[in-house]
Amino acid sequence: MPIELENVSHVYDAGTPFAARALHQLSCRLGTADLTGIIGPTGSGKSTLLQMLNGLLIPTSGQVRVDGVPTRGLKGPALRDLRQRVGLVFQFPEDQLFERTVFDDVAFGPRNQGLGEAEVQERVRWAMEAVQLDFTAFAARDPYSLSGGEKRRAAIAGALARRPRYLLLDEPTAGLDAAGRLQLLGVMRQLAVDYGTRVVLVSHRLEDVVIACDEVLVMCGGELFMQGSPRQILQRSDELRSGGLELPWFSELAWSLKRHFVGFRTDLVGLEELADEITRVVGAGRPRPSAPAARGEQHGV
Amino acid sequence: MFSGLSFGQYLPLGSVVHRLDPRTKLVLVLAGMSAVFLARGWVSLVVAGAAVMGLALASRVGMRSYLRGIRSLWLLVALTALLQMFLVPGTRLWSLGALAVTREGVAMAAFMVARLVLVFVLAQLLTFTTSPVALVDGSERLLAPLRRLGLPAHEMAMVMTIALRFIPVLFEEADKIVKAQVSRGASFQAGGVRSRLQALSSILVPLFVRAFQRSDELALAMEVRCYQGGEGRTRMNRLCLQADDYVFLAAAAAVLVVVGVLTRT
Repeated sequence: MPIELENVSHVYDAGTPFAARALHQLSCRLGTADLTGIIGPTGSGKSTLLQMLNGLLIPTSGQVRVDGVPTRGLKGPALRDLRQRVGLVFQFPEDQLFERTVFDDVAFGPRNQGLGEAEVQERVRWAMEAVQLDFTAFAARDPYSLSGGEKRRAAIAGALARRPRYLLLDEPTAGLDAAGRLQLLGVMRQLAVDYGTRVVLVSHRLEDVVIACDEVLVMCGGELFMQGSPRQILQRSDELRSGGLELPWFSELAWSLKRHFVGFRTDLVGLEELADEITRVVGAGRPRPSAPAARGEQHGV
Repeated sequence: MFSGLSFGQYLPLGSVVHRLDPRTKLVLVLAGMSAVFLARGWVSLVVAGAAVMGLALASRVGMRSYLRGIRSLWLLVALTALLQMFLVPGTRLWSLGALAVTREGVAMAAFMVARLVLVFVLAQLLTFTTSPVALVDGSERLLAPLRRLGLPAHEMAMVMTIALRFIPVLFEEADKIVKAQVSRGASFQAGGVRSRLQALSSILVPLFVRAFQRSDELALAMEVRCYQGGEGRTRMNRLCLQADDYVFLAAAAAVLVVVGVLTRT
C-alpha cells in the first residue's frame, strides 16, 4: 500500500497575523512508482508536503495515510515506526552531519533504532556502498573534510541506514555540479531497482525529474497541478509554462521543431530520444549503424 | 517546533505610537517605568497606570497580545504575590503554621502585581511597536554622547543589530536540524543520559558550525563593502523628532511630575 493523501490542507501559524497557506485540498497517491518526482516553483508547498509524509507536520485538515496507517495522533512506538518506514532527507542534508567520523554519523540512525553493533556496522557498510562511498576509504574520515558531493551522499546514507521503505529527498541535487547530479540520480535508480526502496524526490528542475522519475507530480500554489508519467507531463508544455516552470532544453527544442516538421514527437525524454527523433524525421534516408529498438518506457539516467 | 510568535514580537500596525521616533519611545518607556516604581500608594500608581494604559491603547496592539506576554511570565507574578502576602508584617488574616497572611501583605501583593504588570506592558509596548532595527538605531543615538567617554556606541549597536537579525535565521536552522535528526530517530526525551547528550550534540554541533560559517561570510561581505566601524559614517535614515514626539514627551514629563508630587505629599 502506498502513501495516500486525502483533501490535505495546511496553514502555518493558523489563527495568528502570520498565518500562511501552504497546501490546499491536496489528494494524491505517492510511492506507487519506483521513483516519483514532485516539482513546482518556489513556495508551491513541496517541502511542506514532504514533512507531512513522515509525521513531522500534521495537516490542518485532511488525512495522510502511510501503508494504510493515518499519521494523525501517532505516538511513541507507532510514530517511531512511521519515521523508520519513511526516511526524510532535507535540503542541504550535509548541514546535519555532526559526528567525528563518517561511520558514526551514518550509524546515528540505526543506533537510534536500538540495533546491535554488528547489525549497525553491516547497515552502515551497506548504506555507504549504496550511495557509492567506498567503506574502507571513507568510514574513518571526518565528515567535514569531504567534498560537497561526498558530504551529500554521506548524509543520504545516514537516512538510508535505517532501511526505510520510502526515501523522501528535498532538492537532493541542489548545488551539485552536472556529474554529481547524474551520479546521485543514478544512485536513486539503483536503490529502487536493487532494494525496492520507493524514492520520492522534490525538485524545481523539471529536467532532472523527467529524466530520473517514472511518475511526476506538478505542484502550484499549494495545489496539485498535474500528475502523470514524464511523457504525459511534457506534452502539456503551455500549462507547465503558465505554472511558472521551465521546460527542459530537449523539450523546448522538440516543440520548436514540431512547428517546422509535422508529426515531430514532443514526448521525448533526454538527448538520445531527441537525436533519434531528429534522425527519423530529417535524415530518414541514412540509418545509424546500430539503431536501437524503440526505447519504450525505459528512462536512462 | 518553535512558535513564530514570542514575547513582544514586533507587530507593524502603523498606529501613532508606531510612528513615534524610537528615541522618544525609549525615553517614554524609561519615564513610564520610573513613574511606576516611584509611585507610593494607590493614587500615584493609578495616575502612572492610566498613562501606561493610555499608551498601550494608542498602540492599537490589542490587550489580548499584552496579556499573552504577561501570561508567559505568570510564575514571576505569582511568586511575587505569594512572598508579599506572607512576608509583610501586620494584622493576621489567615495562618498556616508559622506563616501568616496579613491584611497589609495582601494589599502589598496587589500593589506589587499591579506594578509588575504595568512594567511588562511597557516593555512589550516598546517591542510591539518598534522594529528591532529602529530600536537599535534609537539606542545608538541616545548613547552617542557617551562616545566621548570611550563607549563604542556604534559598534555596540551594530553587534546588537546583527544578533537580532540572525535570531530568526538561527531558529529556522535549529528547527530544520531538529526535524532532520528526529527523522533519523533522534529522541530528546527518551533514553539514557548518553543517548540524550548525543541527541543534543546532533543539533548543537551543526548549528554552531553553520553559525561560524555564516559569521565568516558576513564579516567578509562587510569588509568587501569597506565597513570599518562608525568613524565618518553617514546614515540614510536620519532620525528627526516630529510634533507628535514633543507632545508625547511633554505628557510623559507631566505624568512623572504629578507622580513625584503625589508621592511627596
